[in-house]
Amino acid sequence: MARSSTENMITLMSSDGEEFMVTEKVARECTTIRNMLEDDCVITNIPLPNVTSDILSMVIEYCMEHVAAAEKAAAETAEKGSSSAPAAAKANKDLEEWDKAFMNVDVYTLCDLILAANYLNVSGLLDLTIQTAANLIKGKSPEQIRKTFHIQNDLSLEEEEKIRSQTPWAFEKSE
Amino acid sequence: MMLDISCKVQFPAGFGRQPWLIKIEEKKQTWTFINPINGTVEEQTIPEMQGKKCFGCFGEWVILVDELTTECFFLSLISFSKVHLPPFLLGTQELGKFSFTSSPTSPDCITTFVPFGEDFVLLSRRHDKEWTKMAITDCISKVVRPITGENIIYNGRLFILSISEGALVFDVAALVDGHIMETISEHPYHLYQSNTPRQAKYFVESCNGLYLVRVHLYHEAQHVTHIEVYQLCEPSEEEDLNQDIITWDYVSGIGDQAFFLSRMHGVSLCAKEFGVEPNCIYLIRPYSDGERLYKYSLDDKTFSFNVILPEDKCNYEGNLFWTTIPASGMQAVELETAPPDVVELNKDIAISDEKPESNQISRPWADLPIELVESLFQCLSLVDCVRVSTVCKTWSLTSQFIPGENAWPWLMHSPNIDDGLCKFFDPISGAEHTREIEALSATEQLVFHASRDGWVIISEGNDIFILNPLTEDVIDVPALSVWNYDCISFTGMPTTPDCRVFAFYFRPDDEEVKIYSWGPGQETWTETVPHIDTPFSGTMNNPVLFDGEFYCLDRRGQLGVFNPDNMSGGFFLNQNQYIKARCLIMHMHVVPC
Repeated sequence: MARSSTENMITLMSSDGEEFMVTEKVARECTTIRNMLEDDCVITNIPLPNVTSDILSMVIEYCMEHVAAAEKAAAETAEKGSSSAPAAAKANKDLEEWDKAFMNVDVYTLCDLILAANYLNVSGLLDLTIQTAANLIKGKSPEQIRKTFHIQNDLSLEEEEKIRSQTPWAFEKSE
Repeated sequence: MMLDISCKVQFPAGFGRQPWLIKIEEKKQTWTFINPINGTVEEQTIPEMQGKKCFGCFGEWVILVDELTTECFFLSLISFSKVHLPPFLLGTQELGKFSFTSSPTSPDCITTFVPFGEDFVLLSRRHDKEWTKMAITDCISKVVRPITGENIIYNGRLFILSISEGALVFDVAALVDGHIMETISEHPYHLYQSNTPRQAKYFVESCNGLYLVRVHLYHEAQHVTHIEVYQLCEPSEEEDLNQDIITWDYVSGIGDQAFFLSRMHGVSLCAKEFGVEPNCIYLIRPYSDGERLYKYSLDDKTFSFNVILPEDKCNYEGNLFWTTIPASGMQAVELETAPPDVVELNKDIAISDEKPESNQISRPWADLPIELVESLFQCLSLVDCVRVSTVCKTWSLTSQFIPGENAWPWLMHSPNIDDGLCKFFDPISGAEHTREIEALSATEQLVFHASRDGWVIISEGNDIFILNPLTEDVIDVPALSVWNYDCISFTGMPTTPDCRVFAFYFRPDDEEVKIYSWGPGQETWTETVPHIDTPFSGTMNNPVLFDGEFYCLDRRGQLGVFNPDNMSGGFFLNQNQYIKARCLIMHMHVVPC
């Protein structure tokens, strides 16, 4: 059975042994952790061997911001009986701006964040990071994509030629 | 004569370095200067100019007529000197167009005014006290249709366009002496058959000769759909210069020139000198969303436009003029020395430049689980997805996920008949891709009729084929005369034996529909005349296959339905479904990939 209280604190432990104390509400933003809590209601210390402390702190930062935004919106709705559309729109915009600033990271961090968001199952963060990566790919040639993401081309010439020959129309402007 | 307004007029920064638009309204005290590059609008108050109607801008010269005093003069935008013409007694409400033989300051300059739809011409030499009125009634009767106002003086000859597009050509020097020496130009061959009669026509003089530009406008809204350019065919020295007929040749491009057309005037400029794109036509037309500035590229026959004066809706009066001041006149105009910008109408989606990063090669991205790489595809266009699949070995595994169903339709466009180049526009990302497809290198106009499962059915005269533009596979279909069908479509992948091609013919008296069908392996078409009980006037953008049935729209909004699996079932009308729609035929087609 799940606990509903927001007072409960959960300790998350990163792969390098650092501990992060967060409220249960923030931890529940991660679907993976929420499922653990629902399976075992007395768990308070969760080791996360796939996430480093740097990345975990960023994921927690993202979750805290989004929980706070949701709480603020809920409080306003409760106060006025109904949420005012302009205020809600502004709050949404502020959060979008925050997300945008939050995505100002290098490609290595971005990759780690995608992996962490996927592992912890934070859907909002996964969408955000995937979209950011896609924006870096758009309109680039394969060579430019490799440069951007520091990927070495391990395809043989024949393999590359084979893929290209199937869809030559995708490459005409890129080189 | 210098005017005292020169000191009061502050031209906007950059004025004259590129083509600008000036809006001159007689009832207003202001002239509006519009920069077509960035859309900025500046108003200049010139009280002295109130009540004066502008009849055109020609380089540095503006022709103005005072409504009350009938004063009529050229005004130089460089020196603000006036060159007077005789009083203009026709009134400023008169629609018509001025032309002149040489610089207004030249003693030999002859100015003409051709009023719209009238049967006379006004002429004036320098220092004449009044206009000479020459009746050209007899000449007009030769061209059958009345004259339009479009006219130009080119090489001492006055060209006046008739509605049937023949032109009356007069020797101006003889005309001013009272002698009518005229030749007639035949109308140019109509390469583009427009189904709308509305056209705007412009004469444009360039350093390469005289051009006739025909702009096709669609429906009442007057959306620009097509532009053709013809060049005056000058007889060579050996030929008889006094031949009666002057001809026009269709030209596919205008080289290093750019044409600027406003409501009543067209000018040609050397594109490089003015920092605009060569081989393009820039055109101002009113539309329901305001004044639109269209750019028509003659390279690939495509349009782009932006709205420059959103508040000016459907103002068909000709009060917007292009001004261009030649470089030699520039010193006189005080200007900021900004380098000319290239007029860029297409604000493409900005592509983020790569950030300079270290050359360190590591593997995190290459090791990204394949399902995460795949999830990137939701945010990418088909082309980007394909490129992703050639980045490295791990990512190449994504090629199996390259969407077939989720891809959105592309627009396909073949700008020229003979070079086989085909353009694909991705309407979502705005990206375009060009491919050379051998099957599209044709001798006759190609028509893209319908597409299905990545295949497009195309006709070239009587020849018909189905093309997969991505694989370049071609399936030939037996020839069918273009007179035998109005529209054509097919049921599925033409590589499968059960694919059927159907061509529909709607008899002009609406009493009969004929259907030709063909399937792979058959030598000829099979003709069927299905039973119809109501007259059906089918349109050419038919038919649409949905749920195994073909739907055809007729001009009255009736929907005809035909089931290809049940030929004997006939062609029946869906009586309850009247659809209010108009159709527009374009030389483009949607290709779902």
